[in-house]
Amino acid sequence: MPQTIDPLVVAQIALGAIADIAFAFALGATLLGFGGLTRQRVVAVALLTWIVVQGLYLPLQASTMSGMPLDEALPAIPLVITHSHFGLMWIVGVSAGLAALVAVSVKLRAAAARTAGAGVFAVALITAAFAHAGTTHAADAGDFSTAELVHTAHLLATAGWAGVVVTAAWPLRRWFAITSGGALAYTARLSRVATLTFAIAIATGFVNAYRGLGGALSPSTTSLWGTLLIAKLIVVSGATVIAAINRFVYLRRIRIGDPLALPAFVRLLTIDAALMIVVLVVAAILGHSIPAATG
Amino acid sequence: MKKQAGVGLRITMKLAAFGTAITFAGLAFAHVFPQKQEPGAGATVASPPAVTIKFDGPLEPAFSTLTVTDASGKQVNTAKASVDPQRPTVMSVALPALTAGRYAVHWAAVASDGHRTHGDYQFNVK
Repeated sequence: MPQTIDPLVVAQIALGAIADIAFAFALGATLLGFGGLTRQRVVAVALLTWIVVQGLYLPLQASTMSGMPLDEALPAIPLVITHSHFGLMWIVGVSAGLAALVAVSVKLRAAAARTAGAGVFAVALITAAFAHAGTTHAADAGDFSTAELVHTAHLLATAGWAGVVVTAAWPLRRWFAITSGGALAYTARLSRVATLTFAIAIATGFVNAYRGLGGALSPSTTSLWGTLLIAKLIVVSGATVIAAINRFVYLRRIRIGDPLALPAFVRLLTIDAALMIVVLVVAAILGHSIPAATG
Repeated sequence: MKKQAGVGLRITMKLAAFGTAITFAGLAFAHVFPQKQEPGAGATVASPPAVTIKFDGPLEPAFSTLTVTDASGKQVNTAKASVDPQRPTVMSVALPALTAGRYAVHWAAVASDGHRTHGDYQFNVK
């Protein structure tokens, strides 16, 4: 039976994808640890984008939750904020995003103040991820439940994994060639962080799956949801294989001084980054869709 | 060195397949649906004092609704539906004495994650 897709849901998916991509840039640029002022600007712009998107998302969510058209749902926004779990998590998330933006924007001179600022920034990013987890299926298990905490770690790990790749591929691309030691030091750091975040994403994903499905994953290939899930798995597998080629072939060649290795590494990195964007967009569609198993 | 790289690549590829298969499995519980309805769909019963639906996840009381209409589409419940404070997965609405006929239950459920689902079913009063 043909199904019409609600424009409201399409808008929510689009905003959800932009928010996830922005969060990945903010976390990825932070974890990469190189890039000087460019890196700081990437974090600030990404966080600002994330906060603006949260603001745009709220009226759409009020419309979804109240079941009213968008123009009539605006008066329901205060009720969403004050009388729903989504509203509570929205306040927590946006507050954390603002705190992170302030922490990254304020110039601190004293070393102790810089350390405190970095601490505030880290706690704020973790809190923002926790608030995001609180607006997903994991929220059904209750706040601070194992499911919600594991999903928070999962969101951080996946954003970190995708984030270091997209940030290195685009805004910080020139840094690989800007200094004589840059290629070796920065590609090695990128590879280390990507491997670590990928491993955490797998471990937390496994706990998610064990808790949620007991290993009985059987997405229907006849539904849009199932098809999207399979498409996502294929894209993620492709991205992982490309990353592995970079780590086990080109990173080693960079180490032994092969002059052709860095351009090849960066080319594959760009393809990997494009695949990561596709994955984040498909994840946003899946997150707003009704799974085949329950539909 | 080359052999080591090959082994590493193979392990990573296996990890990729395994990891991606399980990473996204948890998404399957994002919307709530009725688990048990009283009266049940299609049931023929004596005038029930209330319609009660148990969902498979906790509900947002401020946004979840439950109404009952008669065969002409007129709403018959005067009481407002409420979510049980002790059991947030259960929503019910009190009903007045109903005459014989077919009635429709319309539910809309907003889960803790903010997702909304809705549906209808019918029962008969003898």
